[in-house]
Parts: sequence; C-alpha cells; structure tokens
Amino acid sequence: MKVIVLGCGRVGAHLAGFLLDRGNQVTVVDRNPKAFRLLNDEFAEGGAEAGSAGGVGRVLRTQRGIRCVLGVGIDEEVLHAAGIEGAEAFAAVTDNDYTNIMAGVMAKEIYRVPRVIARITDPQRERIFHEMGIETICPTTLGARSIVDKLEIAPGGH
Amino acid sequence: MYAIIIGGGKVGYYLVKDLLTKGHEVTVIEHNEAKCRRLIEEFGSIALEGDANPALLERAGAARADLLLAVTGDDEVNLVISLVGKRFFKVPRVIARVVNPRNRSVFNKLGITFTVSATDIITSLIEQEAITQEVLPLLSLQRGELEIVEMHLPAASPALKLPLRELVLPPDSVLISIIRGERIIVPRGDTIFQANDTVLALTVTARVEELRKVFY
Repeated sequence: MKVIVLGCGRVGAHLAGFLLDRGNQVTVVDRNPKAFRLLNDEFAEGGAEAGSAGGVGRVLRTQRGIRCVLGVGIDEEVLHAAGIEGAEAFAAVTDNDYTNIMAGVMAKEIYRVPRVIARITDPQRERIFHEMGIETICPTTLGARSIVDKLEIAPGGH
Repeated sequence: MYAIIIGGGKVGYYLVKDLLTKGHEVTVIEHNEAKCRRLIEEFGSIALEGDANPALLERAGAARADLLLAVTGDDEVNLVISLVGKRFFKVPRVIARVVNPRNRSVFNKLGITFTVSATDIITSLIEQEAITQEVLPLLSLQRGELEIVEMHLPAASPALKLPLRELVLPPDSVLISIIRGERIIVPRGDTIFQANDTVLALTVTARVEELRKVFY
C-alpha cells in the first residue's frame, strides 16, 4: 500500500518504520528537516544528513527506502510532491490536532485518498469529527484504556 | 442576529465591538485567559475561554447561530472550525480569515467560500497602484474582479474633442457618468469630452490599463 505519513515526530517515525517493515511504500512529510533524523536511517544520496533534505517539496529517499518530503502538510504543492494523488492511505500524526484534521479532510475530500486517519490528542474533539466522517486515533484515550486494562480494573467496575 | 466569533485577538476584538454596537448577540471563543478576561471586563460575559473545539462550539450555542466568524491567526483552526460550523452545526453563514493566501484555494475546495485574506487585499491594492496613478479605484466588486474607477481628464487627453461613440472602449467596460464642474452628465454616443472632466467607469479589473490608454 502506498502510504503518506504527515509528521515525523516520534509517532510518525515509528509509524513509518512499522509500515515499511510490513511491506508498504512509505512517504513521510515534515516541515522540519531535522525531524527525519528520528527515522534512524541514512539518506540514499551519499548518506546525507536529514538536514540537507533539500528545498521544500524535494523528495529524498533513505537507505531503507522511505521517501521524505520537506514541507508543510497542508500545502497542496507539498502533498503533490509526496504523491497524494496516488496514495492509498494517509495518516496525519503531527502534534497539532488542527493540522491533522485539516490535512485529513484535504486528503479525503480533495484528493480522494481511500483510507485517512487523523491523530487527535483531545478526546473532546473526537466525537464530532467522527460524525463528519473522519477516522481518528486518540492516543490519550487509547493510553488510558491500556493502563486500565493492565491494572485489571474494569471501567465503571466496583 | 447571533454571531459566534472564534478568536478574540485583534481582528476578533473589533468584530465583537462592531456587532454589539449594531445590536447583535455575540459570543467569542478565545483560548488566552488574559484576553478573555479583558473581553469580559469590557463587554460583559460574552467570552468563553478555551480551545476552539466542537464541544465548546456546542456550549456556545452554535446550533442556533446565524453567523460564524473564524478569525484566529491560525489557518488550520479557522478551516477546521468553519467546517464543523458549516457541516455539523449547519450555521447558515460562515466567514473565515485566511492568513496564508496559498491556503485560500483549499478553503474554497472544501466549501468555505467566504474567506478574507488581508494579504490578498493588500496585494491587489499594490498591483492596482502599480498599473496607474491616473485611474483612481473607487469601489471593488465581485471579489476584486470588477471595479468602479474615476479618471480626471488632462488637457492632453486623446479622448478630448471626440464623441463617445468614436472612442474604442475595452470590452466589459461601461462609462457611468461624467462630472463637469457641478454638472453630472449621462454619457451618450454624442457626448464630447472636455479637459478636467471627471469620468466614472465600471470595468473588469484586468482591463483597467486598456481603459486608461483611452483617456490618457
């Protein structure tokens, strides 16, 4: 599957790695060139540092085959450079909920990407975005639920 | 009319003031505590403190709002809130501020058609100035595509001594009136222009330069 990951923070970098390991074609977009260091990978072109990811919109490939695009994820030109027209999935995982929703809506409605998921950190926002047809992942509630499971206390239990 | 304003900063503040003066009901959502307090001190309990999220919008009564103004300094916030307002709460009129002109087409493609970009407005003013000093823009219509302009005919104007019907005006331009001294003259085919006439014309912005060449 051709996947675009928006945001190369810890979540994005890990996600990119997992996706690649499972045989997907991965492109990562981030506006900060240093973020690509988290991929723990060298760039195919002479082992260049993430910092030299070139100008905005330029695509570089890491040794393991992850494509990296420098730029803002809600910029149409950057999305085009990342290959959004042919993307089969789009995961917006920056640390800004609004950026993730905006990029998610763009991917879904303008570019008709089949699967779109946005990371939302504020659980309050989830409900309405679901009603608007946007798939979300909320690390906040997922984390809380996992901890509860581990403590073996049923939610609302005695 | 009930208006909800997202963003109590410089733009939001003056919008609140203006709408309240005109007798409308207003709620403003602002996430900075100090700004909220100042708004409440000045205008009463019309400010809700918090991040512009759907739950807060619901609390603000978005379902009964007539107008939603998304005017924070953040395009992402403005876009998302506009979409929520329009699609989820079905607010009839939604206006969004766009800071980065590149984002404007995204807003439009997602159905937020009423956008205001200060940069775009100023850019188009600059471009108009650059075209000509002689054609004074009076009024911009149709989002900047049409203009009413004023021209003051100099003694050396090529249009002098000729009847209007012999002038070749650019397409999509029409002369509205001629002001001569204290008289207002309705332009007709046999009207002859004189030096110091002020000519008012309606034209397509793209043709302003062609119009200028007819009279200067």
